[in-house]
Amino acid sequence: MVEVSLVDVTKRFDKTVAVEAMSLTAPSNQFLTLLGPSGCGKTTILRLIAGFEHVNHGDILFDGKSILALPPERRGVGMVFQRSALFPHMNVRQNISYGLRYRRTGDSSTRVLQMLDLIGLRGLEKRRPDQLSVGQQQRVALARALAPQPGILLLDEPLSALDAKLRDSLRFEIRQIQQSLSLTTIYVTHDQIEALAASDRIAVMSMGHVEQVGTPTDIYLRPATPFTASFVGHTNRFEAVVASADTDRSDGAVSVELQDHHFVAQAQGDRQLHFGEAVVLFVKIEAVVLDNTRANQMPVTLIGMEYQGETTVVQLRSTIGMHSARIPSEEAPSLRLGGKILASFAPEDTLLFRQNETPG
Amino acid sequence: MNVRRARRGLLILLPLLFLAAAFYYPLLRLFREGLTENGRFTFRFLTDVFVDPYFLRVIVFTAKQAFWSTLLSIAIGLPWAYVFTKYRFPFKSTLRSLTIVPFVLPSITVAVGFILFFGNNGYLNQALMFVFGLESPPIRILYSLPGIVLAHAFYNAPLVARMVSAQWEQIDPAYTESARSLGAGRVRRFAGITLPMLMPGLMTSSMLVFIFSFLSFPIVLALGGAQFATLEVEIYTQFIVLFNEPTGAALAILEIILSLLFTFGYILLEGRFTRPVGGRIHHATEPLFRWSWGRGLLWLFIVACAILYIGPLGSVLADSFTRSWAGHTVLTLDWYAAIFRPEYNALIGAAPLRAVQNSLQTAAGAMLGALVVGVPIAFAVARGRFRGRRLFDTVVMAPLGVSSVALGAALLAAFLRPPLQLGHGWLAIVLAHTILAYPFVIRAVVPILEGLDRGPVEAARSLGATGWRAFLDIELPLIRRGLLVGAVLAFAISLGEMSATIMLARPEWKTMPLVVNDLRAARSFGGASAMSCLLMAITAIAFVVIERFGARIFGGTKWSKSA
Repeated sequence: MVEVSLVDVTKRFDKTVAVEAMSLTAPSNQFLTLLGPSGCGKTTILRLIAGFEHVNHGDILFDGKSILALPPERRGVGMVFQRSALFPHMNVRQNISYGLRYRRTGDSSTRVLQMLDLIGLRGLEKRRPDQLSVGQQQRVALARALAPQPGILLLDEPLSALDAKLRDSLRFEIRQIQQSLSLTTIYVTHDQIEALAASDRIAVMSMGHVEQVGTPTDIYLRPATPFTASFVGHTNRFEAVVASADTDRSDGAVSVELQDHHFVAQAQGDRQLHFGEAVVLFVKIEAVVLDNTRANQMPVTLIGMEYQGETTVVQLRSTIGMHSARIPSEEAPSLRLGGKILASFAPEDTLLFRQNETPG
Repeated sequence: MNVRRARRGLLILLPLLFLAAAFYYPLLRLFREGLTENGRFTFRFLTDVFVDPYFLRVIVFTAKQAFWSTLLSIAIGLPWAYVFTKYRFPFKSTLRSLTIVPFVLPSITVAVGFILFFGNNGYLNQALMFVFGLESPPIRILYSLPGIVLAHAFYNAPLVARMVSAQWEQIDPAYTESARSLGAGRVRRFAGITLPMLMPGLMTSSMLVFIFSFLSFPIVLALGGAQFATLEVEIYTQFIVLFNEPTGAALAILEIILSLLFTFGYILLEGRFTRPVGGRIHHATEPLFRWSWGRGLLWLFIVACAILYIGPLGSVLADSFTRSWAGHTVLTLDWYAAIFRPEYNALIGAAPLRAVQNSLQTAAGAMLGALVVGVPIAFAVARGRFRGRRLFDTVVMAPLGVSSVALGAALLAAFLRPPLQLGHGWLAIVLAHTILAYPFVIRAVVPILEGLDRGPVEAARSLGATGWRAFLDIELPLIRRGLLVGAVLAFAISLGEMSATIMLARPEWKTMPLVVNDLRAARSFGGASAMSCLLMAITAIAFVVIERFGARIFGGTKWSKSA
């Protein structure tokens, strides 16, 4: 199917810059997720690709050919919106077959039935959108977008209006359908769990530019920027200064200090850090343990516990601030609120960045 | 992208061109008429108006009657709002929506009803003379200030009630409850808490009532008699009765300046007082139908209101079905037969059936015109972010600030006098009605457009529909209700319009309200009543459609104006 490329795209609304000099490729047949907080420009990217907005600068290519001159109806893009955007005055069948009117793709009624089978809603073709549940509405919206066999599928937070259970099952279905059709798909969400679960590749976005593109494991385990490190997963963040003389060891281990604490941390990539440089240290909350088995240790006071089923998140206070740790729930009963304990984490579980690091 | 922008620009250009030709050019002609003499510029006609004690008296009377009309409308509207906010009773929502009826009720029919009911020989006086055994009619208010003021209150009190009760329902009862717990009595709670909080609704609605009463024409013409003329009536007299067009034009210029100032003042006031509208706060209501002596005053008010509203309208209905015959009153359908007669009628100088046809034809034309002009403007108002937006708003809103008679005078000067003499005046009437009606189309369509989700339209585009197809397939069906309501309103307004029409209509183009007026002037009330009932019946149908599909339209007032 189609490969989508954004080349140096800039989009401004009045004076605010929504997307700035951004380049990104959605490879053919893959599921690419744009992940970022609201206002980072991810929805704008979708709307630029669909043709509802126009770039101020740069180009958008489908299989290497610029499509900027094409109106939305000639781009061959299927789109699913945040709120289903079904045509309220048409029933399910009419909604799904709408796109077939304008593309001669064989028999429309068999195609509609095919689509209804695909989303498991056969028998509801006479229903109006307001007679469907929110989940069914999104399924119909998906079927409507897929019916004319688009080369690209764009999904703009299609699950955000759904409750948690339904969200999981529909996400799974979307991924299944995408894989069975080998359809180039661009999915927009602010929900990291959604992004990690469904994507081939994730582009983490912040303030109109891409922070990092990579596989879900890359993004989760090897964040390239402080933004990605703090946005993906739950992390503890420390601001420290480099205490050792430059990055002296070949494995990238660096000694840092903050107030009276000394930690050994892992510099990301081939960053050369120098003595006295201000750095940020990230530790995932599941990497923190409540004993002295890891190299970096700090005395803490237990001030809160949140039972979350399999795991329990504990709130800790030390002389350098507040921290969190995720521990197996069976360890929780032995803990006492207000108790003074030791928390530790391993150097290889840390992520170290320069403060004021420019995104690379 | 540029092609699309150009196409969109063209869509807006058409209504603007229409306004230029049918409103701004005529206005220019009117100004020329009143400000030139033998082709040379002069202030003579305008200064003459200010020197002549007669005209000064007219100006003072216009303001005076508008002032008293406003006061009386508040005096009736405020307790009315109180009843609707504080009590519950059967058919409350129906009655609430009936308050928009005066807006679509042709005012000449109300004037006829007032004559029949409040007249010296009217139903009310006859009833009072019979009950109390009086020799002479006790109520003599017609053809004087009180009659005009009462009729204006009939029209405008519902407006005050509607706007004030909307405000009242936004006031959290916690305010008065806390005042009560602090020891404030009933009077102090109302004067100190409730009244100040009602002020925005009260101020804006009274400003609106003042403007409407200042510019009211049919009621003053019918109920003012020979002595009591307002500016509006005087313009008509100068143009149509005395053929003194320069003086008429000077008066119209004066009135246009005043009414634009008032409208500007109203917009300022509304802007200052408009607050974000929250949800309706739940108010504990008491059942209305429970008698106690403390409620004597309340019931007196309700009965008086019932008489004020049912009396005149009922009189028109009764009068249209009866005639006196050998000293008795008998039922008859003669009046209805008479208004459908195709032969020439000397009282109205035309054939009555022709007038019915004229009205329907004119209303159809005005409806079409109002849609063609109003819908693109509505789209621009709801969607448009473009350069010159403020100027655009002013240009399309200005017609709201010009009175109907002055508009008629302007169109008369522009189209029925040399060099342009466009036939027999039908086109000019349709233009006038279009100008008066298109703001209502905007008012009906804009809220729906603003509430419309762009999603379905964009979905249609990405499914292969061109912009135009997406408009036809998706947007048009979704705004259909607004279009229907706007069209019906435009039709009803045109049907009941008399002020601009009377300036433009030749005998062969008389419309139904003009026939009612002619028959009223000839004191042939049976025919006037029958024709009024026909008008009211069509109005009632319009009301049902509007009520069914979009009563919300009258929630605000920015685009509203009396017909």
